[in-house]
Amino acid sequence: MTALRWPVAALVAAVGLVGAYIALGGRDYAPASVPSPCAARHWHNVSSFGDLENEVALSALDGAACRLHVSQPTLALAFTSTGRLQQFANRRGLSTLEVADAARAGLLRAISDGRASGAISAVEGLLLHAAFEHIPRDQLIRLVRGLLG
Amino acid sequence: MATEAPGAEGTAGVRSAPLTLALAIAVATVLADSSVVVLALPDLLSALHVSIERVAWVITAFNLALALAALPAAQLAARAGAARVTCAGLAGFALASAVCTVAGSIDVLLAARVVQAVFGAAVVCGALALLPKLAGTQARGLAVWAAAAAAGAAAGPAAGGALTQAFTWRGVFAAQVPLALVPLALLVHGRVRDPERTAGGRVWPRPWPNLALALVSAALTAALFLLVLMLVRGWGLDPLAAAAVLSVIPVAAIATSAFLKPAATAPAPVAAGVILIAGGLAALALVPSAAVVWTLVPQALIGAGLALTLPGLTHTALAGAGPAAIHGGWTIAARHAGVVIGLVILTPIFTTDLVTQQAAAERSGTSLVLNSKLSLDAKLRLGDAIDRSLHQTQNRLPDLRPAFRAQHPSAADRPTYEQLRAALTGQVRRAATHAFSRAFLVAAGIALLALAALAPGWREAAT
Repeated sequence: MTALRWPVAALVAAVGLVGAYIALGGRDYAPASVPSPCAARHWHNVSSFGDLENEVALSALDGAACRLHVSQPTLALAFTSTGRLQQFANRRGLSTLEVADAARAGLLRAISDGRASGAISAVEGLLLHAAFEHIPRDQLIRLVRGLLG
Repeated sequence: MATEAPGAEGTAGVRSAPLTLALAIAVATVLADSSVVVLALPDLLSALHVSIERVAWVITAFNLALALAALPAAQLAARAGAARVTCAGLAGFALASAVCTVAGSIDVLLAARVVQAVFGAAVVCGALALLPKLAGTQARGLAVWAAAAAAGAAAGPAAGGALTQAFTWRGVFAAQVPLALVPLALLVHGRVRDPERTAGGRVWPRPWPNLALALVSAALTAALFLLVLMLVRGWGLDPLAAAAVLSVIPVAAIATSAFLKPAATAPAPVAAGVILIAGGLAALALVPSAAVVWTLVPQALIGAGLALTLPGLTHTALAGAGPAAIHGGWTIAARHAGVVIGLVILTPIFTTDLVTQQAAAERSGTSLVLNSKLSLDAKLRLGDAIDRSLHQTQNRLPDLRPAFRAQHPSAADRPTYEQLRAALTGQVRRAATHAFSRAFLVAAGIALLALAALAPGWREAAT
């Protein structure tokens, strides 16, 4: 019984320390997870063309990322250059047309986010929707990349 | 009762105490060598332009060669004479250390490390046969050897860190040359005679204590190797500061040893030590933030665990039938094979996690920038500058300050930029810390496996 004193004392110290670190948040000390791109985005303070451009770009990214089942930052990083976009598409087995369709889904999502936030009127929404639906596929990626600067 | 060491006629021209001390320091130096370069690895990475996986071979190659050479060296010492083998070992070790000091490429360094380990094996195994003669009794000699082995393992990284900071990584190897030459000179000057040579014949190791030693060594290496990389590469500490932080392990080990005189050899304290090492490693996997203070208590547990396990297991492993020097060969082989296994298991885990966490930090950082209050133009400019600074950073913690300074924000925007920089730095530190979590947990698991290897010894003690 006395022999067990040693391991029991060590176990108490080890479990106590590990428990304390978990209680202090040690298990969650990792890079923050990014929000789901499929959740609706509420537009804030759209008071200038710059604000509108910003919100449209972010909603479009969210919509396209949601369609491709990736996170918004992953897609944003892919859109930073043609090389990275090609690498992104190759890694996920996507064709250029699929990426273009996702870009269209993103632009349409931007209209619905804008309408839900009251920044885009019903008429503006209809016009933009018709325009985005008819943009040729080969122009769509260029348009989203243009939005992102 | 102490048994007089065979052939303990003393030495001809030198007092045995300084020689005992010098030999003990040589043993500690050779065994410290398995971890002494850990704090020099970041310096080596930059100086020799190699990957983390390749630079880890500076440690792996040494330990692998030492594990393979230990038993042949012990047998050679028993047959050809321990004094002669120790002298040859010290000379070769000093020469190989000198070559390591001037190595201009990773290949030369790795080759010299292998030679260093082979001659190092001759030093530790020869010294194990000589120390009982020099110390007067078999028990005292083995105690000196076991203490030197534990001290070397515990103090290696801290000493290496201080030397790297003062003289670059080359200083770590340069310092080993005199530490080998002094005992060599004393041995030659003292004309130390060999202990009785033992006839051939196979001596089998004691399996369970040696297996436990291998597993504990694997876990301890993880503690040192991973902790150093986390402190230096992940948290940006310089080698001297990291050495100071790491000194908690030897300090805790010394304090525990002082409290435990004589060294505990019963299974219960050894099992307690294993649990403390596993607990300390698990706690390092779960640090609540990237601050040095959170590593102190886990390190104290690991240091105390080291003092409880290593000398006790070494004594038990050396107590088998046959010459202690041959058992010493097996013990060294087991310890260093454990180190190699630890590195082979853990290096791919943390290098993979490093890449995963880098991507996670990139995603969360991009999300923070995209969803910040800055204008789209400002976000894009900042993103571009951060991207450039990330690409300029090679295997180092990125410094985001220049990217932010280059934005020249207006007074109104400055708080937004400052908040964003703090948030991004926080994400990077989280990723750099979390990248080591899984490897620390696996290391804790390896340590716990040693408990299973202790069970037969426990049953033996109970009966």
